[in-house]
Amino acid sequence: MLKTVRKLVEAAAIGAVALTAFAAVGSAGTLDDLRKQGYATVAVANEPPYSDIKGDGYVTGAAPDVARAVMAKLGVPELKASVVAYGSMIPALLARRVDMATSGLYIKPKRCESIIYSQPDLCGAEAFAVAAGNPHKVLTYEDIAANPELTMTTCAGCAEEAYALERGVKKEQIKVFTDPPSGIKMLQQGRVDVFALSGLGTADLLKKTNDPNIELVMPVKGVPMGCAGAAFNPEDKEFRDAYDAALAELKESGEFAKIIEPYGFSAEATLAVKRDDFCPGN
Amino acid sequence: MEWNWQVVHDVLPQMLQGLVITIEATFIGALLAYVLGLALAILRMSKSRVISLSIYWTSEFIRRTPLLVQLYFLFYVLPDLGVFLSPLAAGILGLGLHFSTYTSEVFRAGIENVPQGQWEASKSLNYSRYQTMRYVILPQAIPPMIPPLANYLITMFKETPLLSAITVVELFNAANIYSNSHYKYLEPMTLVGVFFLIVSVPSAYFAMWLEKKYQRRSSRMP
Repeated sequence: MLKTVRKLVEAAAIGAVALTAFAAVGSAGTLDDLRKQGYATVAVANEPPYSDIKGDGYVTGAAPDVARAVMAKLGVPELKASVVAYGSMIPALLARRVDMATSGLYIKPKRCESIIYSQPDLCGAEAFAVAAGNPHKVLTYEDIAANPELTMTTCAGCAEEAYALERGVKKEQIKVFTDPPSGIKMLQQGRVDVFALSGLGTADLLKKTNDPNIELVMPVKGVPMGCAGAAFNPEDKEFRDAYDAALAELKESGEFAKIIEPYGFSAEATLAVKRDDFCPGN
Repeated sequence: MEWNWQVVHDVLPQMLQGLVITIEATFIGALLAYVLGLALAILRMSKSRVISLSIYWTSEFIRRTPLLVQLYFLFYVLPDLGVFLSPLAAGILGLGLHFSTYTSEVFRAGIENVPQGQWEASKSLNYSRYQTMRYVILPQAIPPMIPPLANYLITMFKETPLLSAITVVELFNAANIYSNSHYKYLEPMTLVGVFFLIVSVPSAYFAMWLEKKYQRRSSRMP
């Protein structure tokens, strides 16, 4: 009996060592591995229109659609989605649970310390959702900071949380939601006064919720336009550069605009910015 | 992967606040579970079949559905029906309600273990049902129940991270919120584990000690 246990432990140890070795090999030429494998695993947050997972598991939305077109050019025909909260995307990339994150993860200096981005692929304004008539007259994050009675909800680790904290909103005023629809529910039930998220994401949620008691505040003044890109593990610089080259082709041919404009994104706004505007040298 | 004490320093104050919430939720939830559980056990033994059966099916229903689903129901559905609970209140109610169906079984077993003769003796003394319970049955039934009840307290303590799903910032959620914005998981999650251990290992030994103590006493009883 003891012998079997010892054997099992040994086998597990060997397995663990083999896995580590495999992971080390995997990082050498990620793109080659993906070509061989025939698909890439991407992290998405399921926040339409940025990313959207259909009932049958097909991943779509503006960011994955751009990534799918780019990856097809690079010889990887398929994308498989893994739903990851925004706050967990960077750890997922670093731990190589996913090959890339394509979900409208904004390019932010703090994030650039940990991961690398492609050139921007989606830009959009920020928005709030508030009770109809905007009873507390909330138009900016500063308005929330000025009234400590107010509470807001957004996702943990999101750009919106950082915007709020940077502009003087207290930690106690922010109640993070588990997923955006739950955040809207909290607003409907009066658990919070303000719901903050990307403009198009919020607009899409409100359209689906179709509740006359809630209204949209867009754009939120005083915060920069958020620009997202596909995100990669920092060791995958080659992969990222190949991705950038293919993305540039896509932008030039006009195919890019055809993909993102039906989702409500402006190709013009996106083409006007570069990664270096947000994270020089990333 | 390297251990960073600066992260520990940054996250610790938030986690200690979370620990207070965790302990609060555990103890108030346990109190609720004990009181409700005793009530369920007594009602279950009611002579009226309607009461006994409806209690039986209600507790089966609560016990056979996941706590997480019940928490979501209490938090997101009840307000639509006009019952508005704060996150912590919904969490405590959910924990207490869910575990009362387990503790009620402990109470029921404890009560049923009191020899039949004790009931008959109470009857011959013309005790009312309340007096029988209060002065004869429960004083004998409760001591052997204490160890299993203490074990449920520890189980409830370990279930509290579920409350994070309804936005309660308890120990785990406090660490998770920090992790989400700083991309550091090693230190916060290790600390969560350590905190749970610090509380649950001594409690487990305490429960074992209780078990021994009450075993001895009951064996000494004639």
